[in-house]
Order: sequence, then C-alpha cells, then structure tokens
Amino acid sequence: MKNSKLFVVLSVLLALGMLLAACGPAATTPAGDTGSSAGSAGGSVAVDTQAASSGKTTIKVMSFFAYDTPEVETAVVAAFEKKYPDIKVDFESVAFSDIFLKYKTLIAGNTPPDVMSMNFDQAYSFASLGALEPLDSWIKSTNLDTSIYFPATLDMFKVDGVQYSMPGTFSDVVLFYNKDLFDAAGLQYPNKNWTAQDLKTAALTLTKDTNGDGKIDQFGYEYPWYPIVLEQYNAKIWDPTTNKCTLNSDAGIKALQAIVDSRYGSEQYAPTPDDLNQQGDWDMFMAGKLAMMPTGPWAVGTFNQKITTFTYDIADMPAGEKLATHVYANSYAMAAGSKNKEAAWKFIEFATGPEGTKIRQDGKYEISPVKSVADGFVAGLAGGNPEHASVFMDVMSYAVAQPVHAHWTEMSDAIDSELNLALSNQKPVKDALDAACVAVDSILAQP
Amino acid sequence: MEITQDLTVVAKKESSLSSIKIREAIWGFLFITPNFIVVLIFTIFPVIFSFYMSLTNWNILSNPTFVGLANYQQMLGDSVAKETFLNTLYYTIISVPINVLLTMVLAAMLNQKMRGLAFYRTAYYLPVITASVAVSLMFMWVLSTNGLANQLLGIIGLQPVKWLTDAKIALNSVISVTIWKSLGMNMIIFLAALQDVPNELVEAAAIDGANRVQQFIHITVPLISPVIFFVTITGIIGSFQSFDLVYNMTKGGPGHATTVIGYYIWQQAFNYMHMGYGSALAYIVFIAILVLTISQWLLRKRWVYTEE
Repeated sequence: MKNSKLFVVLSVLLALGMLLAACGPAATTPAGDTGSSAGSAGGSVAVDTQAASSGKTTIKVMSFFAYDTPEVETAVVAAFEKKYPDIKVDFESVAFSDIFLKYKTLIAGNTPPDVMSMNFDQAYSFASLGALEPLDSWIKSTNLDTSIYFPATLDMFKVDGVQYSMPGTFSDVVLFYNKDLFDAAGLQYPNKNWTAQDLKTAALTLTKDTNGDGKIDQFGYEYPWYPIVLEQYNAKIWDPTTNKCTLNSDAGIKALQAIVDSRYGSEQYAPTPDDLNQQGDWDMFMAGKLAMMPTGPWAVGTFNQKITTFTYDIADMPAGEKLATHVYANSYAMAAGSKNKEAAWKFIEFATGPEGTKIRQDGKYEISPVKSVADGFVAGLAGGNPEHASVFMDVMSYAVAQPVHAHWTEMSDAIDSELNLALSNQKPVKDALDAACVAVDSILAQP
Repeated sequence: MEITQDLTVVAKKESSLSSIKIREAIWGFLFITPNFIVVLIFTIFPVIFSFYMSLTNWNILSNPTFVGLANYQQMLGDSVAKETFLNTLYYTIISVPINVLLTMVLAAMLNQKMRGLAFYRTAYYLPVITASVAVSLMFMWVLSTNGLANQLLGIIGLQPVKWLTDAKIALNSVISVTIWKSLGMNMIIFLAALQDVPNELVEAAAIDGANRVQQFIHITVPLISPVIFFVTITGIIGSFQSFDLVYNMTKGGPGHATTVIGYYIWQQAFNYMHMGYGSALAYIVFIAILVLTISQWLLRKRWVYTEE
C-alpha cells in the first residue's frame, strides 16, 4: 500500500510536471526566455525581442506561396526587409490545404496574421465575411500605379468593386500535347481554330491498345476540370440574377455528357477515373500514354525535368462551343484586424509589385501579374520546352476566372459528390445534375 | 493485501473513522485534480459551449448571432443529413454485432491452450495500435482497382470489384476495415472476462453431459454477459463517432455513400464554417447515443446475467 501510494503521488507529480512543461514555453517565451526552446519557434522569438528593443515594427505574414520550394518566398521576404530595414517580417510558410483553417482560427482568436496569402475563391469568401481590409484607400494614399497589372488579375480580387487583395501570381490552363505522338500518327498539331470535332477526331486516332490485350494503353485526351468545360459550352453553375442553379440546363448537361462520353462512350478516347487511379494524368503524360492534357504553367518545371524521351508543346484549349479557359491567381491580403496596417501595406505593395513578383516568377512559382515582369517568363523559356510559351499570355485575352461565391467550398463539395457519380458512369448525367441543383439551390438560399 | 489490512487496523486505533474518510477523500480529490482540470477544460466546457453554439449562426470569422432553434429546424429539410444518419445507422447495425460475435469467438479460441498462443494474440492486437492513417493507406492499396483484393479475385477467375469507388459497395468496405482494425481491442476484453469464468462451473456442466458448444452458450456466455454488454455499448458509441477511416479512405464518397455523421459534422463545422449547424448535428448524435445507451441499460436486466 505504501509503495503504491508513493507511486501514485509520483505519477501525479509527473503528470503535473508534464502539464506545466507543456504550458510553459508558450507562457514564458514572450518574456524573452528562449534559451531552452529549440528550433524555428525559439529562433523567431529571439529575433522578436531584438526587434522590439531596436524599435522595429514586426508584422506576421503567412503564405502558401511556393510551399514546396520555400526558399522562393523567403527570398521575397529577405528582399523586403533589406528595402525596409525598420520592418521585421515574422514569416510562416504553410501548406495550401491547412492555411485557410489556420487563418480562421487565428482570426477567431483575435490574433490574425497581418498579411495573408489568398487564392481566388478564398479571397472572395474572406472578403465577403468581412475579414479583410479594403485596400482602395491604401492604393490611393500611396499613389500605387495599378495599370502595371493585368487588369483581369486585379479584377479577380475585387468584391462589389472594392479591391480586397493584390495579385501576386497568376496562371492559366492551356493544352499540353506530346509532339512525338502527333508526328507518329501523322496529325497536325492542335491550334486555336480547333473545334470539338477536330479534338475528338485527333484524340480517337491517338487512342490505342498498343499491346493488344483489349485494354487501351494510350489515350488521346483528358478533359479539364468541369467548370472550364461548362464555360466552353456557355453553361453556368448558377444564374446570379435569379440566384438559382442552372447546372441542369441543356447546356450544362451537354458539357458534362461530353466528358462522360469521352470516358464511357462507344468511342472512348479519355481515361476513366479507375484508369487514373492506377496512374495519374501527369504520370500518364510524362510516360507518353496521354497525348493531350490541359494543365498550367506550374507543370513546366516538372515536365522539363522529367520528360526526356519526347518533346511537348502547348496550344490554346480546344473549344467546345466557344474558346474558353480559366485564369487562376493568388494574392496577398491584409487582415481587417491587423494592428500594423502601415507596415502590412508596405509588404503587400512590395511582394505583389515588380520586385517581389519577379523573384517569385524566377523561382518558377507561376507567372507575375505585373505585365512588364510577365514578359520575362516567356523569354526565360526561349529555346526550351514548350516552344510556344507565349500561349500562356495569349489565352489571357479570353480566359475567365473560376466561379466564386461566399459558400464556394460547400457548393463545390455538393456538386462533386453528385458529379463524381456521373463522371464514373454510376448515375445518368441529368439525374446527377438535378440532384446537385437541389443542393446548390439550398446553398444559394443561405444568407 | 495483508499490509493494507494491518495499516487500517493501526489507523483505526490512532484516529476516528470519519477523519480517515475525510483525509482519504481529500487525497482522492487531490489525485484526480490534474485529470479533472484537463477534463473540465477540454471536455466539459466544450460540451456546454457547443450547446450554446448550436443555437447560433457562427462562421468563426464574424461574431455569432443567436438564432434559437433554427439550426435544428434546418436539419429536418437537410436530405444529406438524413442520408448520413441512415449511413451511420447501417454502419452501426452491421459493424457492432459482427464485431462482438467475431471477437467473442476469437477470444474463446485464443483462451485454449495451443501452440503459438502469444503470437496469435499479438497478431490480432497489432491493428489496434496501428495508426489509422497507416491502416487506411494500406487498405486503399489493397482495395484499389488493381490492388491485392482484385488480383486475388482475378486468380480465381472473378471480375474486379470497385471496392471504394462503387457507391453500393464502398460503405461495406469501410465497415470491413473498421471491424478488422478494432478486432483486437474487444478480443483482449473478452479474454480477460473468459479467464474469470470459474473452471468448476464448466467442469460441472461437462459432468452433467453438456458438450463444448452447450458449455459455451449456457455457462460461459451468461457469465461474461456483463462484458458483452459493455462491449456492445462502447461499440455503438464508437461507431456513431467514426470519422478517421472515412476521412482517410473515401472522403465520404462516392456521392454521399460513405458520409457518416461524424464526417458530416466535421464538414459542416470546419469546412463550411457552419459552427452552429455542426454543433446542432453533434447534439442530435449525443441525444441518439444517450437514448440508445439508456434503452440498453434498461434492457440489460433481461439478459445480463450477473451484477450486484
């Protein structure tokens, strides 16, 4: 009994000790005691105290930009700190999949980062929920020349005409194709005038069962993300004037039926989701098993590194009923609750301006939204693959932004869960879209 | 044990009984304090706060607005919520009985004296201590289109099955993995119970002419019925809370085929920022579990053999 009592007391002490240890660092480090804490946390705290003593302003910046190659965005930060020695940036790189939940919890806890990276649809959500600082007065007071940007990229980050964040990168979807497969089949390369029929004819020629086992080993084409296809067929997910779902309109059904037919029709030329489960589309393309696929400039780095057995090029996206593709952009926004707005704006101005975006573009993270810098992107690819890199710029004349809504995540999930059944041939397209529209309508009806 | 008694005797001589009790109580409370504080902060407070949240509209980014019972009303018209409740019910009805039966039989078999006993016991327990992400990944490979399961089917000349991508099959696949993963936990509990079954009762039955199956059904099962009861209740509660395997393996798809209520709550609260609606759903689950547990507790008198 005595022994076991001692044991219990000891274990209680141990448990208390662990609790205190766990609470300890968080509570004590602001006072400057960084001697015991290791790693980056300790490092940044040490710098903070130093900054405080020398009268510097410290801003917190969180970003998913170039998460896989973190040296790119830290170079932007370093260049900024060099230009503004009185501002210290506490920079944190976070994965895209985690960052928005992180913002939300930090905002809910009243400790938002001063500057937050955004993508197009999240920028819209955050702005419409009142979490972002309107930037128009900042742009005016610092006489920022907004004409240096591609207008489309600026417009993407406006909500009801108000600029809520500044574009830092952009990218768009074009058609990547395997030149060698086209040469071998004696086909002409894809061009801007291609119709849906031209695409299908070429794709069918390029679809082959090379080893004769009854299964297709080489596919002609894979359709892009469905909202792009909707755009090509003049279909919309919802009509903003009536605030009702229009996904199950004739145009919508036609667009999605085109995807289903390419996978399960009598004339198959696209891989099914099961095929893609076994080998992803990028891997298929790089292995020469997929002749054409839509993707963006973010693929160039990987493709140039890994494709050695053939040459590839890019072209305009094949039309449905009209030419259409998506432009994507990422931005830096200022939190409405930021306590260092002056310094935060300086950072945004720099990181989305010519200097910041050039570092990012040179680091192969998408294209600069600043026109003069973006020209250098095409020049940088001259002499290598893809030969016609200027297509990335050309499609900007007709590229549109993806659909966006304050409840986009919810809407997108609701559509996906029905659409995936249709696109894997488990449900007729019309039934799936009817069901999706019920869900979309109830989401649109939310305040 | 003897020492304990000696000490108590000594203690009785030294002071009155009540002061010992008080002292023991103080020590007792002292001992549970660290744990209790943690429970208070991370369990009891959230439980109360989430009830308040369930009466509000809150998207985390702006201040909550009080909406009364609107979230509960919304549930009535939410067809996805209904589907997920039905999925959860199906999940429970299939997985719990199979799990209880399988683990009981397994424990009875592993209670025999046989070769390699320790190996089998360890082998069945291993999935329990394996991280569920690892289990999910492994089964995603096993159950993928050209995975191990389909290759085995191919050997005996059967068509491949879309284990995780066919809306009619996916939930059953997830249930099977759940059962496989949790087999060892209940097995250990049953083993402990089986070792408490007095041998003389079983022997007496054998002398009376009962065969092995009769001994098991009429002697062993009634004697371990409190444990069956416990395992069933915890199993039902666990299956109402299931989340990780669904999240890792299917993300609730295809369609809503594998969306169980735990996953749907997470989706609503943290993906779509409907903290209020998510909390309301959680409270409905809480009530459902409560009702199920109470009704089992009442039914227990009919079939649970021994309890003081």
